[in-house]
Amino acid sequence: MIVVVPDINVLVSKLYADKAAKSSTISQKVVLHLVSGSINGEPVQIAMSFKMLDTYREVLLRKEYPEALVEEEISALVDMMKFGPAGFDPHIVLGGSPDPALKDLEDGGVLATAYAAHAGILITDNLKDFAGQDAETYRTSRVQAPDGKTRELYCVIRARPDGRELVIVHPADFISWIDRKFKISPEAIRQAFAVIPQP
Amino acid sequence: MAKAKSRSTSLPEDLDLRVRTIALRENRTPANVLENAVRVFTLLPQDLRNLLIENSADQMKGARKIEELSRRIMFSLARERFEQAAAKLAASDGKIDHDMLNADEMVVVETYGPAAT
Repeated sequence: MIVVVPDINVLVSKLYADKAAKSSTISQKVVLHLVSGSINGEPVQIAMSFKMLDTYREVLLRKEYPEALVEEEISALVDMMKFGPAGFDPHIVLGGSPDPALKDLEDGGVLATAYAAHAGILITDNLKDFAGQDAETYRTSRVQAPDGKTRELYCVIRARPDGRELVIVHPADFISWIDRKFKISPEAIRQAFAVIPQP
Repeated sequence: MAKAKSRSTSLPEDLDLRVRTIALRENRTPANVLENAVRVFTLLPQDLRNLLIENSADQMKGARKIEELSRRIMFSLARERFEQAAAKLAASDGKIDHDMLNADEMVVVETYGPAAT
């Protein structure tokens, strides 16, 4: 079983894509995989803290989405976590104490959630805030947006307090790897990609 | 109101205990628990009824199998609610961040490692 923490930016992007009547953007594909209950045949458990859900709620209300509908979606999300293969309860991570290694408190909370949930994968568009001196970074791909802008992507591997490791991956790489049936694990990443030396 | 018929049956002790536990926990009468159970059971297709009966008879793994089946049903219902809420949100008057939307449509043009293991 894989425990996956989707960062808020993934859920928000998915909503914007739905609203713009898009049908297969990166975030839409990520969410589709997560709610399907399995990824390439392996059961998947979504994990988010109530603090993360609070942030999601705040973003949507700021963007003027109706509160009742926002609550309806969040409540369903909580139930999907509760009735996932590992039965994840967002209460167990409460706010998720921010990791002091990260400068941004919100990202620290997301990382703390991933640690508390014993997550194997964290999917985020915001990679730079999760990289740092105590993390390994691997160069993975180059992506291009519809406006022609390109961006170099990388993934991050961090040691969890329980002795295991967490892979922090961009949504575009996550989808690309799932499509190619690339097994997302620290070992496979170390074998497949070149490390980016620490400055 | 539809006419009610009275039926009687004998329950094994362990089953009777389960009925009374549910009734107590959910603040209902044992008769109400039995009526609900029969109502749900009689609405299920025969294949599913047979599968559930077979599993419930297995003392070792039966309860776990039914629990797993229940979990999947609950997950599936939650997913349906999530998708419905997402569709309603998309149809609402909320605003979009176009930079995020643009970034969400990027495509991988080059990958730096072996593609698959």
